[in-house]
Amino acid sequence: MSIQNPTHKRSRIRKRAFLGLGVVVVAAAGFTAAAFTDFANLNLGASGIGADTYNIQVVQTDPLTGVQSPGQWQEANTAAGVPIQLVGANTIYPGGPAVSVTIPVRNASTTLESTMSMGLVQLPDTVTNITSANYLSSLRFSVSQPATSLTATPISVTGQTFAQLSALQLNELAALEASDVTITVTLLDQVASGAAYTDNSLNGQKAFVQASFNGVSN
Amino acid sequence: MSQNHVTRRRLSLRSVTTVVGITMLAAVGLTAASMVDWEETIVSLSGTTNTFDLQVAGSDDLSWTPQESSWKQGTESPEIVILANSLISPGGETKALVAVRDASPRLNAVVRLGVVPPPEPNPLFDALRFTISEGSYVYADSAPASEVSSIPLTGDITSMNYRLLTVVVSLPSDAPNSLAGLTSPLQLRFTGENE
Repeated sequence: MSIQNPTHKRSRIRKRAFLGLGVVVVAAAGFTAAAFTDFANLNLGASGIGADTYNIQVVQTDPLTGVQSPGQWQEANTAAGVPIQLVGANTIYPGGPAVSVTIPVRNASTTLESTMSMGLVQLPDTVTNITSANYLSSLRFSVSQPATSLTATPISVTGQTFAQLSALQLNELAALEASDVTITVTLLDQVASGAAYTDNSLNGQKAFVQASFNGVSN
Repeated sequence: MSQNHVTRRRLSLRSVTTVVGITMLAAVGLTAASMVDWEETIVSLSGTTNTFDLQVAGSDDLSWTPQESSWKQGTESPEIVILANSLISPGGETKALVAVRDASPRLNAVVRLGVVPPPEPNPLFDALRFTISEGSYVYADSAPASEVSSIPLTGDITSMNYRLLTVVVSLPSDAPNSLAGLTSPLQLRFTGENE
């Protein structure tokens, strides 16, 4: 007995030592568990988010003659604009017949609807292209546009001065919808305009005017 | 006499040999006892229910609630939420519901939500604004992506429960025309740590 007791005591000491180690290991495992992390990703949209494309266009024209190419479109989104042929503009005279041009415009956006407005802008004078203030003030403009899918009432304004046509509201266009805007131009005589200058003073004069179409997406 | 001296010396050698032999056996016994006790402590360690796992789901149907089949890991590859309206124009927005579940068997989770910048710089992404809410609680209101990179969700998510958030992505009404036609990847990331 006296020999066995120390042996058992030593064994118990060893077991306590190992059990103590076991507790330490478990505690360490518990501490590691507190740092478990994970993440999960989630994409919105199969191809992400896109900013919708909004674009209005006018009919394609020859860059030199301004002759239209129906069914083809161009951006015309530079300050210089694009030329469009106004048949008879070079023969217009005071009190004479009106000349007109129909300009196809379209909302080239695939999803967005568009408001539409048109304004006349005087082009800056150049060495050869100089606008006569008297000639410009004797011009009268009429604008028409048929109903569109978004606006049932046709547009029709007549006898407008250049200054009055700075921002005419046109009918709205649905996505990819096209519409024709017709501009008619006359040159009033002195009787009709009440101008101080004579009709003959307008002989050989010119006006360089740009029609600017503007839209805002809806 | 000389024989007696030889005999005593041999006895002395035997005694020495016997003592050495006993000492070696004791050392072997001690080593064997150590191995047995060590194995017993190893068996008590098990982490089979100690896993930590987050899962995600989402929809652009604002009446949606996640079903069991909805949950995806979203770790190796992201879960994709199809948006019927993924094109937005200035002043417009698109909405989606996103959900995160703590799929751990018994561990609770502390979770953060962040909008992940695209791999390539993108002016559209920079212009987007994010409104993130959970019920009536608003985490972010029309904030740029830089301010929603890591938003802590309120409270813990308990084991096998989920949280449902509304994400509204909008484009300010004064966004420039130069953004028209651009697209940007848009990834949300839930990160979590067990509590």
